[in-house]
Amino acid sequence: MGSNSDVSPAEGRRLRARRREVLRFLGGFGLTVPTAALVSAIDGALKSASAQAAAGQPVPRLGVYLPNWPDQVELWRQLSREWQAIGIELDLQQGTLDTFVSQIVAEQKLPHMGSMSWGGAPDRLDPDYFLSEMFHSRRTARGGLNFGFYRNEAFDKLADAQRSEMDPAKRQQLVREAQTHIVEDSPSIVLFHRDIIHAYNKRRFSGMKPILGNGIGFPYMPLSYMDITPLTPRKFIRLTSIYDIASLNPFLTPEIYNSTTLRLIYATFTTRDEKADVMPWALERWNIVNPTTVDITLRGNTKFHDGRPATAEDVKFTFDFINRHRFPALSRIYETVESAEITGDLTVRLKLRMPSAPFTANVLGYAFLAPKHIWERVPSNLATPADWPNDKPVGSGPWKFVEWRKAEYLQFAANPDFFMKPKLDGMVVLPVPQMESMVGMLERGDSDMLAWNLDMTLGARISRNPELEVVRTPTHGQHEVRLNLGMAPTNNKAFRRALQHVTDRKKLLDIIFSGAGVVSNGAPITPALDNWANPAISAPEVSVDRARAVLRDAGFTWNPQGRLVMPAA
Amino acid sequence: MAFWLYAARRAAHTAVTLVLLLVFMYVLFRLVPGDPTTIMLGTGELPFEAQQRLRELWGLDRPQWQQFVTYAGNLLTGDLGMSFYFRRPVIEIVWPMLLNTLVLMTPVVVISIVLGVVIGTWLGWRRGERIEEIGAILALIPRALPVFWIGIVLLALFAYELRWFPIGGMRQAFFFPETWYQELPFFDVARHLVLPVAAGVLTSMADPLMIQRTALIEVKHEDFMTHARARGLTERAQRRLARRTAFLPVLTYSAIMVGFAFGGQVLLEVVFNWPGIGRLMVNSVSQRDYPVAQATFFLMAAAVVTLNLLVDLAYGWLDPRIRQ
Amino acid sequence: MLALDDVSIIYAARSGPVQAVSGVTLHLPVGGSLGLVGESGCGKSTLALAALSLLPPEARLSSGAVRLEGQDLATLPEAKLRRLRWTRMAYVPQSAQNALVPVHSLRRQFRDTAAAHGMRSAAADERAAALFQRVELDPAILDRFPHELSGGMRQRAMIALALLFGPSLLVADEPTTGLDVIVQRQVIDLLRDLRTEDGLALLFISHDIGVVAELCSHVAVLYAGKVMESGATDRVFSLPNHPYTMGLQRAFPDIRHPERSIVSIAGHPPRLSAPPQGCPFAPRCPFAQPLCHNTVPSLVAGPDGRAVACHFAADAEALRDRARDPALWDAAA
Repeated sequence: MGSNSDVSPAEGRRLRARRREVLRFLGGFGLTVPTAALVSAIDGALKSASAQAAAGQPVPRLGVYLPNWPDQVELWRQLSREWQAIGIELDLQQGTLDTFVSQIVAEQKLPHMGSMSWGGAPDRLDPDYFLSEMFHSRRTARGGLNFGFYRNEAFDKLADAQRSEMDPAKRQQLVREAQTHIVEDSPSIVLFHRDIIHAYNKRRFSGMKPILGNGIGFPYMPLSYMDITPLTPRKFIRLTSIYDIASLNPFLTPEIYNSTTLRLIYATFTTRDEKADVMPWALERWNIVNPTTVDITLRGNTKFHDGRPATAEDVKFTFDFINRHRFPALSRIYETVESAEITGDLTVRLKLRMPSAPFTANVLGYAFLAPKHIWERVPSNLATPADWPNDKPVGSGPWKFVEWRKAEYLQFAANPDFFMKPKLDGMVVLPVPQMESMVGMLERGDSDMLAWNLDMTLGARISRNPELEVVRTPTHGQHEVRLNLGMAPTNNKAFRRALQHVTDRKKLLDIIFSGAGVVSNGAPITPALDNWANPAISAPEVSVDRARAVLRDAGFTWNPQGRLVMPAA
Repeated sequence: MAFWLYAARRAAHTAVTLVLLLVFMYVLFRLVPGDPTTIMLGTGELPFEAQQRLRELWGLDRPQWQQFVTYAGNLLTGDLGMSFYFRRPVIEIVWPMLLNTLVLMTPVVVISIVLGVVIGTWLGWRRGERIEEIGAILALIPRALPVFWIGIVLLALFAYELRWFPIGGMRQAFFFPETWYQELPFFDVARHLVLPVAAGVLTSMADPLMIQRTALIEVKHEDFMTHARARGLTERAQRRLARRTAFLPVLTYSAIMVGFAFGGQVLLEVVFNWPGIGRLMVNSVSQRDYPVAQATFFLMAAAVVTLNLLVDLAYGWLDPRIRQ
Repeated sequence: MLALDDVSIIYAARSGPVQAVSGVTLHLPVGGSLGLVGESGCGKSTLALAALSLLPPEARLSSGAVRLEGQDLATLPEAKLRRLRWTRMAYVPQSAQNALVPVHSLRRQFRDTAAAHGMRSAAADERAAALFQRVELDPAILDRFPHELSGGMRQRAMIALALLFGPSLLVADEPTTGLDVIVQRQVIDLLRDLRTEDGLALLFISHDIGVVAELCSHVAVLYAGKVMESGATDRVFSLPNHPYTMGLQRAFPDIRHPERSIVSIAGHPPRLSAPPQGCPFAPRCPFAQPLCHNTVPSLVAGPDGRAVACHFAADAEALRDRARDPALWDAAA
């Protein structure tokens, strides 16, 4: 590679350098352009799908955004067929969850409609979540979950009122009334609440407690593990889960699986009992003094896993710590609790910034008791204590941390000092990224419980095995189709109501999940939550005639090809 | 001396390539919509205000160029940054997964190359015979099948039906040896290795095999092979000679194979639940965990580029004809 | 020593069988020397390989036998044949460049050859050094790789390698091709010395009749896989009986007759996949008669140990006269 004889070495170097620069530029260009093109193509597709329907014109193909999961794909295969009955056609766009989130939630680019399934996280048991977070007009801002732009002042008022109503009976009334608005306005087609299906080895263990929204295997509600009893000499149970945790720091992660798993170690102040009602956990009791003052009392003789006793000092420290560092994952705690004040060895008075109806469930049920003697010593050079690795978590919960091997296993030992002593000696959680392997491990006896949501086909296969037991539990999680009220024709209430009549929820549940679940009554709160569900509401009648009548009454017509035509202006 | 100059120049080129690669990857990952906090927002677990606070804490609200300067500066001091998802230094996340992947991929690559060369030589040697045709087809069949399918078949057969091997994972949590051989160190990892390595070898072996076979068929017709026969070398010695001379193309290919091994085999790792870097790579991309994604991709690219360099340099040693 | 009896060789080519050699009979006595001459493609190299029983898989001996010291090579098992190779018969191929293993040093090649016949490395090294001196090469060169040597050095190294076990037969296939004149001379001198001093029997293949005349006591002229003429070298070349020999002779400068102009025999050797009906040389022969095109002449032995395959062998003297005119060869085509 000697330089050319008639070019001086310096000249040659300069030439080569320039050539390299050009190559570098071309390389960068080559990488950047296709990516940018891809991004803008997705963008363009979403925009073109948002073409508005003009008055008196046939309804254009409606844009639908769906996550590329098998159940969602099947859902739209059915809906595109059934909705033809009223003369509309759909333009489906699939995407991964992360594109869904970044396009629809963060960028607010919902086409005419989009579908989503919402998991049954414990905080969503409180009606506030599926009402306020999903449909309050405040949540139409970027990043809010009201990405269909539903705005109804009367509903907003009810949603706000139930949130601060501390009287349960009055709150029930408000919640039930709020739901009637959703049903009437139809900003969403709530489809069904798919059952959680878990399985375990009944020759080896018994005593699993199914809890609404948790099944027997999820870590959301620690009570479901407490009575698991070994039937063989082996006294630790092996669970499989799709996910692994990402961190051992309970202040860090907002992700539901990770945070609830860590709360097996760090006892929350309250939890949910078998009926999914709020019960004291680290607390012995609480007392709502007035809407913004709550007294809480720690259980006596509570010890952290390192043997140090837990006191009111630790409780106050926990709330102060969260308030001082404003951990994003714990935002609902620092946004609610203003201060904590020690009023006795085990008692603390909490001052709230505003009345909060979901307080005992979602604040006391999410906040956990953190040992002051450990967290006050977290190195101060970190941007936030949430970045501390916390390699040896010490809590006061029913399970003690033993070992975590990333992507291999997470091991717990029973905490005999917990007020409700586990009947097991320990638990091992094995992350298995493939459902087939999880089933195989359960069948072979390599695991004792399949603690991830099965489908009915696999469930049926497992239940044929005499050693295994399949458990179906209802949940408040849901599948829904969100309609965009910011554009035609989905901004037309009659159109939305017509869709409700041509959507056969029962049939969809049967086809997609073999009927394992609860059909929605049209409101975002599952009928299984009888405390909050409105018994007066029932699912819209499935009838093409009704749908067409609703449309006709609103001025819609059909062209000779059978295509739906917008009302004249 | 000329060799060292050449080596230094090639090394410099390699270094420049790698630096450019880093920059491109930085840009590339940031072109994907969303950031590490978006996904938390979307599943409804993090309110919007909290997400914004998280972005501030993690420095994601700063202008891109500032973020890049910080990243580049950290790189210069050997700091690959902090994972957004795990909130730990990238190196702590990547290193154990890389080791796991190497535990899996080292036998896969070594066995694939050794078997590929041995069988490829054997087939090439028997060029034109029926057995060669059958052998070549047999070797190509698993290559045409997806690795996860082979994995599933192996699992169904040897793990579900015969129960000779575990279903997946790298070791059994709480393995209690029952017999003397089970007490041997690595026994547990070894039995977990058998099926994924078999699946990996079945799919990766065909390339070195076919390359070696083709090269061998060419070499076989060289004059020196006739001469070797004339010299009365045994058939084995002749074949060894042919293998040795036909090895260079396989060597080049091996460099790439070994390089990509550093990226793991995602499908293999998923089917066999192997806690390796391939899965980490895929997850880090969908979680927008840029630092981890960049580090894993960079690691793989660096391995490919560096091994290519080494092979280029080793060529001179293996083939004296190009030593000058 | 080496005897080829009525040897025919057929190549299985894609387009059909090719008769590369037909009915060739040759005898090389102990310590004797036999030259095979002819244009390229006439079957010389195939014959050389057949003599060593090294025919490639696609070629087969369709008739006849190759005997080395009375043993029919075709009937020997591969293992025995292998032991015979290089110990009894060695081979110097056309191009040392390609025939030496490119990735091994010369020493390694000596050692590997030695090992194949049970000789230890140390003994092989010693012998190699001695042989290198014999071929006037510095034994230090043993540690070099083939590509590091000049053509002449390589060819001499090749010859040294051939002498490793002191074989009684050396088959040399155009060993001087591609070498410059001075180097050619060195190699020829070396081969002549070996022959006279070591009593090596030499089967020497060349298209250069001058070199053959210098090295070999006997010669066989091959054309299209057949012997056209054979006999004592000086007799054959001074008084050729076959028109092809006459042409060949005129195609090379003759040191004794530098004034003669060089001719080339017009036309090409026939395609062996479709040989002509009569004498294979007839299409190019300036003296061809209708008889020649129809009937194959047989090789007829003469009184002086010579043999010739020509219908008009009896008129050889007259033909020799006519062959002196260069114009004749050009016109034949």
